[in-house]
Amino acid sequence: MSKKIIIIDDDIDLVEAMRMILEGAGYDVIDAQDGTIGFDRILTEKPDLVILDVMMGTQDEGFHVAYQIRSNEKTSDIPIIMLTAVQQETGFVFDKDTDEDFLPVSEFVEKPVNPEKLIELVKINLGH
Amino acid sequence: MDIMLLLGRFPFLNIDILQSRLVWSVRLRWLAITVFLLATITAQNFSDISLDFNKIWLTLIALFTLNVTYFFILKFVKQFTFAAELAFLVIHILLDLFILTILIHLIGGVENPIYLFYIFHVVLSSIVLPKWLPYIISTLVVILFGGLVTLEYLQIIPHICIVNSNVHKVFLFNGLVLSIFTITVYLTTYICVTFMRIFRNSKIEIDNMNEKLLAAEKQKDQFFQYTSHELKSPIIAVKTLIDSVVKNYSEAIESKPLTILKRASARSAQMLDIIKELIDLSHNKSLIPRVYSDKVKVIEVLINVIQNLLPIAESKNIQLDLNTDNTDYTIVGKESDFEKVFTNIIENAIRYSKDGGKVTVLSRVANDNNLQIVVEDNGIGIPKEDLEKIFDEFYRSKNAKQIVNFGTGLGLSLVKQIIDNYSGNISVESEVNKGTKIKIIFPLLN
Repeated sequence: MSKKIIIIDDDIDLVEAMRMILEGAGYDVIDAQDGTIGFDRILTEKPDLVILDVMMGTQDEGFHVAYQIRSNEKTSDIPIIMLTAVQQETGFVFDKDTDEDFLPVSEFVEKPVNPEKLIELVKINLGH
Repeated sequence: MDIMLLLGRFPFLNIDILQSRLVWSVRLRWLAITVFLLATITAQNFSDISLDFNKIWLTLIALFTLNVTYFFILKFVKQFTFAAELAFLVIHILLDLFILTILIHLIGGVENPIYLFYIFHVVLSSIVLPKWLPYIISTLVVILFGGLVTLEYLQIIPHICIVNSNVHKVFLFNGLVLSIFTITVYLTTYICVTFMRIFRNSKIEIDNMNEKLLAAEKQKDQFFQYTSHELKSPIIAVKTLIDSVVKNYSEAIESKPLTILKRASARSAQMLDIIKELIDLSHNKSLIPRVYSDKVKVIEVLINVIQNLLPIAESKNIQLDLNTDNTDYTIVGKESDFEKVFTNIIENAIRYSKDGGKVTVLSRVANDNNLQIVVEDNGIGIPKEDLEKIFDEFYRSKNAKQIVNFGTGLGLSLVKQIIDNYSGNISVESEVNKGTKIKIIFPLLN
């Protein structure tokens, strides 16, 4: 059975573009346009990987969703790839090495994501 | 609340200024003590003036002890409140005035023009002290000196003659000296206080303007950030959409439209670069003061940048060399600032060099306080008429455009802006078809 990936991003065009890439690579893709719906879908659909945009509605909604995922034991081990915009100034430091302790996000990726790179990251984080 | 109100209305009146005035007054007092000491020794040994030298010495010792006390108080009491500092300064002034009065009494009273020294304290208190306090000090000065002269005139206390003129017994002389003295003291106070009022008002105005300016700047920054985010989102979506089509349907699309799609993707990447560099430039141009605490190992950053650029140089068969004497220099700042400067300059040197060319990076410290980084290439060079414009925003020289058609024209403006922010300097020497030499200087502050 193919792996299921959820994309949580409020930009529908970006969601469709990534869906095209990921479905082309053989994954099942579901999506949500905001954090709350996204987290509900994660609970019900149990995806294997989450692709999460940092900045939806509010500057750091993505971070809150990431915390929610990590603090719920049903979802805490799902890998998260976090999308950030170029040079986003949110007051957060996007340094995986230093932030991992309090924000265990698997990857930070700067948008726009190159298709090959996206597939590669997804593969790595799904463990194959 | 009173103190805060006071500080708002008297902008030069703050704890730092009081502190610095105190230190300064202790130093001046050492000088005064030394001069008095020498004068007393001279008078005692080389003149036939008969003074009560024991009392003079006693006064000088008292002044010396006082100054030693001040010195140690300033040295060991680090945390002064504003009120304590102000009180301390007032005590300084009062004790000085008393001691000066005693000294004047001991060395001739009204006969000795040393009473002019009162003016120093009149000026100091008029500059530093708030509200009506300068006038109180000045009144005290007049009372002290007037009292001394009057008491000596009435022979309630003895008068010590230094020249046997007996002028101290002449009513008119005493009256004249006191009148002129009083007028001088109050006029000096009035002039200083008035001037300080103008000075303080203009400082308040400048501070207010500055505050408004910073607020406007901040608003502009936020607006810029918001706008750039709004500009970025659609272009990111456009690029990702194009790239996903290219990736998934490259076999279904004919090669010509595929090439066009790839070009569209490249152009949207270029637009993202421009937005990115505009944000950078706007941040670095911002008037809002940057507070840095990190010590950046500049040469390490330079080495990293060169390592990252090596593959690009190698792909063009360009030799990229680094000569450096030491790697320990640190500058307080932001690592990414130096990264941007070095990347931009060296990337340009590689980009505008011909195949098989050579780019040399040299770093050294000059005069112990300047870090110099020189990037030299033997590339296409910059025409003379373009040299002064290369740091202008969006400017790209004609021959650069001929060789490489992408580029935002913002890179060098950003470089210049960052270097300016670090009080550094960048200069360019270039000759068409011979090469370009860029010299960057960062001051090293210890």
